[in-house]
Amino acid sequence: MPKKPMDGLTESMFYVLMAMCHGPKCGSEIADHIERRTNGRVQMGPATLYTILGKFENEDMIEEISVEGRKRTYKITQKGIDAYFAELTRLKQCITDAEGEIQDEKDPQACPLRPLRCGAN
Amino acid sequence: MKKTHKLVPCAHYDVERIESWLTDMAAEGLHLEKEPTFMGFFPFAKGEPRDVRYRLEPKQAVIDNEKPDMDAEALYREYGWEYVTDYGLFYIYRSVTPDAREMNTDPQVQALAMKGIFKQLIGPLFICILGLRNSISRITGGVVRFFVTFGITYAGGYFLVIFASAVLTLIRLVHLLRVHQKLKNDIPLDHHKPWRKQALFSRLSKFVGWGFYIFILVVMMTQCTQGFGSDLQIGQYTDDPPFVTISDLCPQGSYTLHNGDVYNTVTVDESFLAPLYMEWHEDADVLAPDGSTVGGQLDVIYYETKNTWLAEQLAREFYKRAQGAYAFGPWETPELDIDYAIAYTAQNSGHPTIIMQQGNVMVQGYIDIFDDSGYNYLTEWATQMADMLK
Repeated sequence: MPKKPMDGLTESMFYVLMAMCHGPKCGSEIADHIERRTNGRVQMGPATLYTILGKFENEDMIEEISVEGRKRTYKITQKGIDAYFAELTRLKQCITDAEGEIQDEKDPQACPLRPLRCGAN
Repeated sequence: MKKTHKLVPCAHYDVERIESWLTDMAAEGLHLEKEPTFMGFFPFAKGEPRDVRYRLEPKQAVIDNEKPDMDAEALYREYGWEYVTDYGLFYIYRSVTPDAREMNTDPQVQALAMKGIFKQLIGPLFICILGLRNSISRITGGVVRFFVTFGITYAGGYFLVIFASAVLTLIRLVHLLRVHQKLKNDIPLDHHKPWRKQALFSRLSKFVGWGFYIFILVVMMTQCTQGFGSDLQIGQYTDDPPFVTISDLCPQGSYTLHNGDVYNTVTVDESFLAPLYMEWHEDADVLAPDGSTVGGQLDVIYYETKNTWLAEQLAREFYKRAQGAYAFGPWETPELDIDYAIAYTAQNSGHPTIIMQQGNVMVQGYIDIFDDSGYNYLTEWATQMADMLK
């Protein structure tokens, strides 16, 4: 079943905002930060990065603060920070809900989540 | 280094197959040159087979989009992707570095980037549809009139070109919408989509399509240069026109043309659907033996068509077009005992026009003809015209 298109931030967008919460960065610095933070799990393609930066700049979630040749440095705006923390809160709630599912399971033998429970047989 | 050109084996908007084809060409030793493509022909340099990835990125700007944004190009270069050339709605990049990360790692973000090209498609589609609609209803006054007046070849070619362009633009739009939806559903593009199976059909279709367009354009241009009918001065027209003229309204009178050659013209033409088509513009007076004057302006459009149905349709199209005119209003139509007759006035002129049809003949007369008392001669003109038609 195809994944439903997300209305908000994709994973790539979330990580871009996360990287920019740590201070102004240019494109390649953002990609490097994300790769380090995710231990290589999330590798930002240049076209993906370019599109996200363009979208965020159009939506005033980031703003350009300096240009050196072709290297543009951006910083996150308050709108970007708010969007990041809203998404973070949503993701935390998803985890909380999922953990609640595991704890509430009454029939550990029949539950497909069984392997996820600590100490489950 | 030897060069060659190859025709792309798929539609120009089929992103996946173009990427797959270019990658396969590189594996055969053909490498895309940094030169413009032309009509689907891609320039290649012959070299050693290499593992090269090609990717198409959508253009964003509607105008001035021959080259990609320099910041984008610089960023892509940093990650091992070089800009090669552009084709249609896309820029083409390639990477010779096997471990260079993919250009697009998030399909949903890639879907965002595709939005820019839709603006470039809606414009041409809108123009095609608007052109089709406007050419029928506003410029020519009706489809049948367009075909009858300009001939099947010209009119047919005109509509075929516009219709084909609109359909092809629509097909392109639907395909790109499907790709866009695929990306929105977080499904990445297939960079190795099979292209060989339909390559022959695709290339043949292109040649057939080009041949069709060239043929139609040549036919239309030939007809344009030959002109549509012969334009004469009324004084030069020696035949008896098949309709009532100002002199016919007072045959014993002394006839005088006014406005010289400026207004008094006659056009005679023929087409497959209308063996005779005439336009008559007359500005004249007739001095009757009793000293009274009958005269004014008479504009006649006359069709002898292949069959009754065509004449009927023409009459209705003429009237329908008139109903859309400024200050349209009814005018008393005299009893004429023919297949169809309707009179009206429009354009605030106060002068009536009558449309008449009998069998395979349709005639429209604008009757700005009066006598000294200000009486309009529509009834007289129409009665004589009906007698000629029967």
